[in-house]
Amino acid sequence: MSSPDGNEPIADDELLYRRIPASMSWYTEAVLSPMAFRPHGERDVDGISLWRAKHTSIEQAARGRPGKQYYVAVLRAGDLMAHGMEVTATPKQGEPGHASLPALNSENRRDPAALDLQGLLARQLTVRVEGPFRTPDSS
Amino acid sequence: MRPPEYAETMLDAVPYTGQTGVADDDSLALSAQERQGNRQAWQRIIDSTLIEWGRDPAQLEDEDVTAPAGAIIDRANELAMILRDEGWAPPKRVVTSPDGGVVFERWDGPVLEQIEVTENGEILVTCYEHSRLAHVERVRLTT
Repeated sequence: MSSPDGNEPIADDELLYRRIPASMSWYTEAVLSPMAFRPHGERDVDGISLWRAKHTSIEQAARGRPGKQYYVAVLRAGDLMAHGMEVTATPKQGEPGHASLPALNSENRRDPAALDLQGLLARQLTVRVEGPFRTPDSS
Repeated sequence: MRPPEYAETMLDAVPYTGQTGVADDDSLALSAQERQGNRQAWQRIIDSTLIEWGRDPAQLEDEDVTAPAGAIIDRANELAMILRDEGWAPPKRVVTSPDGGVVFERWDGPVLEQIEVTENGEILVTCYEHSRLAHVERVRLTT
């Protein structure tokens, strides 16, 4: 059997990470904003990005702009699937743990159904939030 | 459960739990001290957050986040002044949306409400109850 390369299907019991820029204040007073799961209007055409804990450390998932800080929301794949959200393995060069949530994408980001999922993810399905983690200046 | 569809509403008809300034029922009316406190909180948001953002919107750029345009910050400022003057309860935080909107958020127990100026200048009010979307309105300003 070949070792997993990030293309293997995502199992129910896998943990997933969602990076949250601390500078946006989407996580304060232990309250996570649905904005943390709002797709960008141009950059999330195929769905918002997640990272699989199986292939990615939480520090790697938190890595963003040099010198900036990021929280990480931790989710369980089975919880998302139980609410009808497919999670797709979309490994990239150097990021075997990259995954996508096609149900939330640039085009539908303000549709009521997508807003509903953003609230569900932020207010119910996030298991915990960790961080903030600082991205090193030299990365 | 199907999420609710968008409604089109005038600002003063929005079902917003923080819209206490127009309460007819004495039991819902705020004391003068509370009203003054709300007004001061909005003023701090205008003076400290929105004006500061307007001076340097680029400070709000981050990974996968587009900073709001100056015109959108101006629009949020205009809205904040209206909500201040109408006596709406102030938000607990002001944030940006990923693609350049400005969002006022407040929450109380299972309810989380957002008043959003989108990157196109549209105003949306979104309410979540127990993590699910309860209603969403496209709002026209009365003034």
